[in-house]
Amino acid sequence: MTTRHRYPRLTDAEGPKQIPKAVFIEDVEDYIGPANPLEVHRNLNELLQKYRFMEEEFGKKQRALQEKLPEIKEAITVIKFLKDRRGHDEPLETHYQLADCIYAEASVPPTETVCLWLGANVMLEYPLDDALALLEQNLNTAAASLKDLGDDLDFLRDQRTTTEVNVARVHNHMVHIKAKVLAQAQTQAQSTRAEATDGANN
Amino acid sequence: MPFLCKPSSHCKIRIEGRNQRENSAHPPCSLTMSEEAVSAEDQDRINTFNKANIHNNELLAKIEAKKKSLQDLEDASEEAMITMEADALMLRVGECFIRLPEDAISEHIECEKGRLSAELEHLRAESDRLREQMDQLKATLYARFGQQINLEP
Repeated sequence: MTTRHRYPRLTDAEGPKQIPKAVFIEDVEDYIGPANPLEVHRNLNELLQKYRFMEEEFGKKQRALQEKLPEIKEAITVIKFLKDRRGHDEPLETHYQLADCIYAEASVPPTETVCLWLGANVMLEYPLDDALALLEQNLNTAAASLKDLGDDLDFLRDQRTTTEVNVARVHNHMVHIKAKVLAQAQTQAQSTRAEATDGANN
Repeated sequence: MPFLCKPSSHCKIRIEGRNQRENSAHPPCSLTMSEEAVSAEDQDRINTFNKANIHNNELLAKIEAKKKSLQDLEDASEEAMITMEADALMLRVGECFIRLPEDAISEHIECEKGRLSAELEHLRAESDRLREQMDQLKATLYARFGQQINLEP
């Protein structure tokens, strides 16, 4: 431990996304140093809560993205399907969802364009090939950010586990200290009692 | 019973002596047992084990979902086979249903089945790999820490 940090450091240099890295404790006694073990224990627990919270938040993000992927994939399937239909003459007979549990009939003539919902109340008409390219690009972006998020989550999990182990080790250390003090007190009491009986006998 | 510090995760380092006061019926945890020094490699192993476990659980959930989709497809192809009426079938694409001739539908089903089976195979192989890794780590960690660590689900 460097003398610069009088109080035991909880985290090290920052990892990806400015997530602090949990320190690994080489030696618990050395780590705590002159600090109050109870306080160190409490601070480590606090850090653990933070990591848990972050892990949960990242997990939520991950689930949201995971739900988005199949939607994009479905849209791609539909466009591919429409592309295949370009040569046909007869219109495509479909039932589309009007509202929950209500479906209406529609016949779609062979088409060269499709409208994509871009969000923010904007819908834009694209030629089929362009729409496909756009959606595939979206899919790749989403997959890439999902992978990034997975890496961040793995990093967070490592920090959380390290901190959990640190909490357990500091706790165990405290138990050991208590036991040592207790044992010392007992031997002291025994020796004083022995002295006392010795004195009485003499 | 040792107090386990991590209800949320799979790998637990035992915390000694905490339940002495809470439950006096249990003998206090052995305090003479010296804590095994945790080395950086041990910490790495514990971390890797934890991650492998989380990933494996995710994989298992995915495998179950894929199995169900595959079963649904099987059912669909059976149902399609016994339909009498010509052109009675509609295929769901995204949110809409599209009327298609029977052979196009069965072709679509077969194609999807092939895709799903391949994905399922891939997921199973990945899960097996993770389980193997976890077994190895488990053996090493139990050899190092024995009763002090709990790696069971």
